[in-house]
Amino acid sequence: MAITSQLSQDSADLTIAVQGRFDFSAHQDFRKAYESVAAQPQHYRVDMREATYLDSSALGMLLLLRDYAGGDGADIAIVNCNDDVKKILTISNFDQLFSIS
Amino acid sequence: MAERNSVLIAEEGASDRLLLATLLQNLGYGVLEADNGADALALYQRERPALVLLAVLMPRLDGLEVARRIRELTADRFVPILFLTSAQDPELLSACLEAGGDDFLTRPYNGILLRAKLNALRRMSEMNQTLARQRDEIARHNHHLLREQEMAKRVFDKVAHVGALDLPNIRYTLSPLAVFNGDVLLASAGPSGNLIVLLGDFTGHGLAAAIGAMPLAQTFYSMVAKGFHVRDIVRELNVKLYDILPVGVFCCAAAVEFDFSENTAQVWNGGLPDGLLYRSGTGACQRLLSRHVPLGIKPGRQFNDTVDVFETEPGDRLFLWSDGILEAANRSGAMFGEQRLLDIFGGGSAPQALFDALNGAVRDFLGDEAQADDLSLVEVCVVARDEFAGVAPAWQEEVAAATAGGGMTDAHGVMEWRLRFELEPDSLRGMNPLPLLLHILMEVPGLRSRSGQLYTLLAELYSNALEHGVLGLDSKLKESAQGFAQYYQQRGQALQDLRAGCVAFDLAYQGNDNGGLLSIGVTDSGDGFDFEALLARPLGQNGYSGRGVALLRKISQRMRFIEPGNQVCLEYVWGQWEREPSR
Repeated sequence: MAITSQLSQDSADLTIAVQGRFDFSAHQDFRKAYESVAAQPQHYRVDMREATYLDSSALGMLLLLRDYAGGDGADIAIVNCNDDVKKILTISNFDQLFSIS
Repeated sequence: MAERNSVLIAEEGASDRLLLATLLQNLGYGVLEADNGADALALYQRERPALVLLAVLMPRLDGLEVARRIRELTADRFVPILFLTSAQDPELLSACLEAGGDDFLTRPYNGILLRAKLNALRRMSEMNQTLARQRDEIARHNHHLLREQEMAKRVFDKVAHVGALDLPNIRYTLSPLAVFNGDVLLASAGPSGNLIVLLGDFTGHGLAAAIGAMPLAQTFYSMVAKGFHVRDIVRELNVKLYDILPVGVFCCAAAVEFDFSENTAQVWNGGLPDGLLYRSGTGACQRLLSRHVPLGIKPGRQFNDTVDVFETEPGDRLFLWSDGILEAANRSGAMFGEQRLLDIFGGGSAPQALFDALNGAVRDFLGDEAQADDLSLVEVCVVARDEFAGVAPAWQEEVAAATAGGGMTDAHGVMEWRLRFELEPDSLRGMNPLPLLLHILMEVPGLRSRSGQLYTLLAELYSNALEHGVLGLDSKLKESAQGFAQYYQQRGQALQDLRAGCVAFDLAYQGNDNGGLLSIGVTDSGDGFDFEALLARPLGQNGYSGRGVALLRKISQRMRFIEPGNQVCLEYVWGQWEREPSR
């Protein structure tokens, strides 16, 4: 499990990439990834290309990000999901809260 | 007893003993001496020195055997043992270490080297003591946690005891500590004879997960007892959890309401794996899809309470499970998964054997009994209404009593009150008046065991007044094959479009400790209908929705319509009550 993040040049986009298992052990790092950014980005991307697995605490972490980013007004896309990840997000109907691809 | 600074020297040769004793005394140690193995062992047992120096060859008992026995005696304390030997043979030296020795001292004995070795051993000894202390502290904490959990479980069980999980048509598997895994299973029958079941899976583990279960259970049982239906219940549960749970904590849940007289099952599923409705007639299965976001995430105004409505038949079986069963992993790390689960339904088992087949399959897959009990699974069998034990008066009374408040509870003597409750379009759209009215009636002790009948009266009168009187719907649609879904859709639309209309309840009660009379009148703003023709028809064919006029007349007295048919009155008497002469 590793979390890396990248802020765009104009500070408007923050991309957080998750590698390996996205579970409770990722809690602190994931939070730091968006809280330690000085500017307030307008768009967030969570890149799941190298994520293998997602559990309910990961869903909780996504909700925390959403709350931090403005709640209903937040613009968060969860991208590059493999089938397993997509399945977990779909069962909880998180496509009602995030843009998922 | 245990001398921190005493050393046992076990050595046959007197001069060696003397030399070692002197060296050790110079280092500040007290010295115990033995010239043979048996005495050495006895001395050790008596004095419990902090350190032992053992020669390998000794009369009566050799050094290796002494070392072994000392190790047996002091399993929980670190007592360094140094072998006195000049041997070079690796096999002998290994044997010494395996017998329990920690190090060696060779001739010529040197004070500086001896001191250094003893210090190193002391460091190990201290580390060992620290570990033992920490281990004991952890064990104490664990013990506390377990006690706390037991307490929390007892509190939770008190809240949950009103439940209906022991009804004959429900079977379930639930870990005894399920609530600490975040799993909650609730079931209760309402006053109208409906059954509502809820399976919930909170995120997290331990006390944090269990804490959400309490308000969930309390709200659930309270609302079911009052006559609320599943949509209102999940809506209220969501609001409650949204308010109390921190962001990121939520409850995946599925709630199902069974109506055994209309033969429907309404399903709301937010985040639980799809459940299954198994059709006893065809053996086909319908999935109970998770359509919603779990409870506690969306604020009230965004909550979607839409349910999927299924028509059911007695013998059909509805299954719900939490993801514990899908993710149960065996020793090689393979997960049970959904396919294995579905295979059991397609596997040709008899309907009544499916539940056991499911449990058996998981047990076989895991090869571990304990873990197999650690998952949550519930089966509800659809039964005919008169077979449903949840409508028994004893049950109803228990439920009503459990939720009745104060107020009129201690009233004695004659009690007399009237109330008029009018609903305009916005209220007709937005609220269900029945739980409120029933709640008021439940304040009268004598009526508590009759909540089922009273609810039936109020519900029947209200639905007719609203659906036929105000909305103008035709109940014939309900009786057709595709009927229900269409009917409810029309009902929803008509209610949405309603701009004018009214339903009014007139309730009046007179009674004492031994009996009483409740008058119920319901008036709607519609045009009425030809009630004479309705009453003239033979029983059982009256076209009124649901159980109809026949049922109303069976439960109540003096039922009558008032011209032009948009007003109905009836009376309900319990116990001994003398009516006043009619005016």
